[in-house]
Order: sequence, then C-alpha cells, then structure tokens
Amino acid sequence: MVISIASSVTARAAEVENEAVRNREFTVEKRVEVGANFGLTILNMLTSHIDASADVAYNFTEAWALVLGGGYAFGSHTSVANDVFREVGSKDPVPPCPTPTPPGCVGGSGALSNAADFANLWMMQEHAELNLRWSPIYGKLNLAGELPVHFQVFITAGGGAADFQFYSPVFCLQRGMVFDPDDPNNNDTFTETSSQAQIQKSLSDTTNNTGAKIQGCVFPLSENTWKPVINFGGGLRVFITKNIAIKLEFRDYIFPDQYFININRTAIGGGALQGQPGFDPSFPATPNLSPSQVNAYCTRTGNCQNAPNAGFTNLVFFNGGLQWLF
Amino acid sequence: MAVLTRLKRLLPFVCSSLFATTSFAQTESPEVPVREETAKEPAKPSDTPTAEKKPEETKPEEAKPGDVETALVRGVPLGNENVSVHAVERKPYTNQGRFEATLYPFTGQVNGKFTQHFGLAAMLAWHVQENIALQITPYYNYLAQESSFDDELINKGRLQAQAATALCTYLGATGGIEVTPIYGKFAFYKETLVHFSVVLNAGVGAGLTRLELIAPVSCNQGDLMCTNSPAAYGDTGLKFLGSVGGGFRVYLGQQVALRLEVRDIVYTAEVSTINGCDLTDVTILQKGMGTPSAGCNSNAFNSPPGLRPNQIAVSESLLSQSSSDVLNNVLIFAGVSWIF
Repeated sequence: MVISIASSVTARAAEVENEAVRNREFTVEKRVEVGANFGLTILNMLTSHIDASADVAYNFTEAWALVLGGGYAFGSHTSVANDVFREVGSKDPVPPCPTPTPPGCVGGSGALSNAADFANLWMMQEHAELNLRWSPIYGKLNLAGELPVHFQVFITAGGGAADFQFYSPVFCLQRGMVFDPDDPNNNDTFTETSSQAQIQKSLSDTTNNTGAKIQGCVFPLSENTWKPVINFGGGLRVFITKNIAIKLEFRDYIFPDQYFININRTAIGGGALQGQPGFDPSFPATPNLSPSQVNAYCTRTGNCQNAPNAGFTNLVFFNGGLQWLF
Repeated sequence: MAVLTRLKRLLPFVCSSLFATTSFAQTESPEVPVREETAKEPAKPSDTPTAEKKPEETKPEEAKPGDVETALVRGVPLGNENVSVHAVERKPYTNQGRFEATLYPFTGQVNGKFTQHFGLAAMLAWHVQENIALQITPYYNYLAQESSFDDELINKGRLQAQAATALCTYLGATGGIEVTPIYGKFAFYKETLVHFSVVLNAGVGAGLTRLELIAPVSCNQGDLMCTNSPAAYGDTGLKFLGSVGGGFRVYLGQQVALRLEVRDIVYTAEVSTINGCDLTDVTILQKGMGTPSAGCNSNAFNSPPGLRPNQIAVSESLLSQSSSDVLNNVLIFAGVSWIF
C-alpha cells in the first residue's frame, strides 16, 4: 500500500513537473494592457536622450502580443559634443594671407577649411511604432525565500517613424565671436540649441556678459525631418498583481543617418561678421531646414556633399515602466 | 522561558529562509509553501513548536492516496498559524563542494566610447557553500584598441581623448567571490522547464594596459596614394583592477550550465610612461641626443617598422599632458561551464 501510494505520488509529481505552465498564476491571453514608460540612452557619445512613452497592447496568446507605442525623447548633446562644437567652431577656416601680405588682407589659420560633419548627431523627438512581442519564458523565483515573484521574459521588434533634430558642429552658417563659456564673467552663454533671438539678445547684452569672447559658430546648421525607424529589444516584466506589472527592457532604435562631407566652411559662413568675402547670402536663413533643402544647396554650389555611406544610427534605451492589464 | 524555547525551535526555519533559494512553488497557492526536508520525512515532535501539544493535536491530515499536494505536506505543522515554513521543492542542482570551470569564448565591451575590447576569458570557481564560491577569472582581449568614434574625433575635429581615457587592457585576471542569492525556474514556451540562478560577483586583480599611438590605416582598393599599415601601441604597464558583476547561470544538467554575465572592470589609469619611457626619455629619443633611462625600452617604438618617429612624436605629445582617469570597461561575458 505504501509503495503504491509512493509510486503514484512520484508519477503525479513527474507529470506536474512536465506541465511547466501549471503554476502560471498570471495569465495575459486575450487581455488588453496599457503602459507608461520612462527610459534613457545607455551609450552616449555625442547625444543623449531621456524618453517618456506610452503603449497599448493586445495579447493574442500568452506568448504573442501586438504593441502600439509612442512617446517623446528629450535629446541633448553630451559634453564631448559640446567640446566638438567649441573646438571646431574656434578653428578659423579662412586661409592665411599670401606673402607678401596684400593691403587689407585679414588671414586666418585655414584650419578645417574642408571638413566633414560627424555621424550619429540626429536627436530623436516624437516617435511612434508598432511592435510584435514574443514572451516565450514564464518563470518564478523566490526572493529571500518568502516572496514568490512571477515574471515573463520577452523580445520585441517592430517599426515606425520618428521626428529628428540635428545641429551641426561643422556646417556653420555664420561664424563670429561668441562668449567663452569658461569665462565666469559671461553669465549668459548660449549653446547650439539656442534660438537666433536668444543668441542676438545675449550678444548685445554687454552688462551681464563682460567676459572674453572667442572665435566660434554663431549660427550652426540645424535640420529637422521625419525618418523611418525600426526597433528591437528585450526584457522582462514582473507581475505585481493580476492587473499590474513592472517592465524593464533594452530597446534599440535604428534609423538611417545623414550628414554632409567636403564642407567648404569658408564659402558657407566663414568670416561673415568680419566682413570678409566668402559668405554665401543665398543660403536659406531659416532654422530647421530639411536635409533635401541643404542637399539642393550643396548640389547647386558644390560647397558640400551628402555623405554617400552614412550608415545607420543606433539609440539604445534602457526603459522601465508600469503596465496595467484589463 | 517558553518563549525562548519556541524561538530556539524557530531559528532553523528563519535561517533557512534567509538562504533559501529554491522557488517555483509546487502548489497552486504560493502562500502555502512546503519545506522539502519535512516533505521527505515527517518532522519529529520535538522539532516543531507544537511539540508541547499532545501528538493527536498536531497530527497532520492523512494523505490521500494519489493526492500529491497532501502527500507532500505530510508532517508540516500547518495547523499552527505562528509557524512560518519556507522553501518549496527539491533543488535538483547542488553546488556545495564542487568546482566549476567556465570558458567564455566571447567577451565584449558594451560601453565603448573611446575604446573597444573583444576577447575571451575563463573562470575556475570552487563552491565553498551552496551559495558562495571563490573564483579566479583570467581574460585576454584579442581586440583592445581605440574606438572608431575616437578616430572620428581625430579625423574630423582634430580632437583626441586624453591618454588615460583611451587606455586599453589586453590581458588581465581577477580573483574574488561569487554569491548565488536567487535560484529559480522558468518555463520556456509552455513545456520546457529550465533551472537558473542569479549570480553576483566581485573581485580584484591586475591587468596589462596599452595605448594606441598610431591608428591602423586600411586603404580603399585602387587608392594608389595610400599604404596599409597596422596600429602601433605603446605599453603603459600593469594596473590594479577591480571587478563587479552579475548575471545568470542556466543549468543544462547536473554538470553543464550556460553563463551570461555583465562585469564592470574598473581601474585607475594614469599615464606617466609609454614603453617604460617618461617625458624626459621621449624628448631625448625625439631629439636623438643623449641616453634615456634604463627603464626606457626604446626598441619598442620600432614595432611596427617605419613608424618610430611618429610613435615617439605622439608619445611626447601625450606625456606632455599629464592625465588620469577612472575607467569602467563594462563587458558581457557569455560562456559555458562544467561543474565537477
């Protein structure tokens, strides 16, 4: 009798072991969920982003779901990018005067007179995407032997579109004297993301800004455009209750990069404030040009060239969020 | 006195709960977990806080033949609400007293801003206890060089990362401790049950470092004006390393496991010599007059051939600007381990 009970128990236990989903306390099949997420980029070379997003998903099965998401990423330049803006801006592309020096010639150093822009400088803003999510793993673990934690591991991939902003450290529309940000007597410094009105106001304010000025770029090229974006990632979500889960994931947004090379910095904007020849007044003065507008200018004048193999930019986010399942 | 006695009896349960790592409750309701030891053999009356009661009062429910849940809880004092029982199920993979040899055929840096590292590593661990192991991890980076981003800064902006920031480590070893605080199971797509544990490790060690002096040149086909040349590196010596990390160990059986970890190799970098030569030595080599100090390996600037003047000039430029930094090389370690 004892033996028969024991063997029965063993057999049942073996069956239970094979039915791995037996203890799936949290089911998601045929449920709708909404989520709010917060994320930031984890490898910041020239740009960094903080992202706020929301999504709504429908779980067809326990493993498969369709997710519609969107949000806004707040992009900024890193300290390395700011160094690039400052260093490249300070390099005078105007060639030195010939010898003997002609009367009235004001020569420069000729540094970076023909330059290429940097890759991976587009900053993502609004974005929307449709993703497919596969959650093949459902697991449990005990924290400190007391708290059973149920989780799902998932991977996701999809596509969409995003609005991007670009500021060039090389393609300078108007060079001139700018405030030295390292001088403490300059209280009102501006950056490449400042508006033209802010820049003009700061430059004319000689009360608050009594510090040194240095050669730099007054108006960098700024572009704005929408681009297609694909994304993929993976992570896990931990179920708190039957209706609430915490999500942690890595997500890589991939989009085509675009920038210009063979930029004739003297012809485009060098020396405009000094009254030197070379400034091209035909260039559109409006901010946030489209890449096609700039490309048309490059084709027409030969002062720049669209990079033929610009490649793709990867923005890898670490996201955390809350999900509500209905 | 009775309270003390009761506390003494509860102590083993408390301790086991602190170190309990098993999971995936067998019962539908995780709030009624089952202690494995008690499931295997009924607790003696003196082992339970209810021992003061009469045996018939503490007698658990009789197991019904074929009832798994009831059979498993036989002997557990569930009748006493003050007793907390823990843990769940047989842990099929034990580590205590065993060694674990791991080969990581891939290690790769994931935070490579100015440098990039790819290589391989090995690890030998001795599991002193079920959840604690001593380990030593040697590693070799077959690719340890400045990143393409650094090259872009140089080529497009005439900017270069400071010497200490662009330091690469190509050979090193760390030794330390690894703990396994969490043990769990997951179901892979409904049917396959997989056991895993979360590992956390920390250690100290040392590594050999170098600095890229001349970037490699790879010419486009048909560019007759260009000559291919390999990178030139300068030796910057042995540095003290620290390592912290964590990851997963997924069991494929009693003896084999897959490991996926992230480790942060931390070291302080100060570049005061290159190939054993300080600024004075390099200046002497640059001018070609005088004799450098005994520790200066001037022949090291001859490799690769033809780049000696450039290497010495770059070294002088780098050493003239004293630099130091704390570097974090965050690497992914992916490998397979053999437990014996």
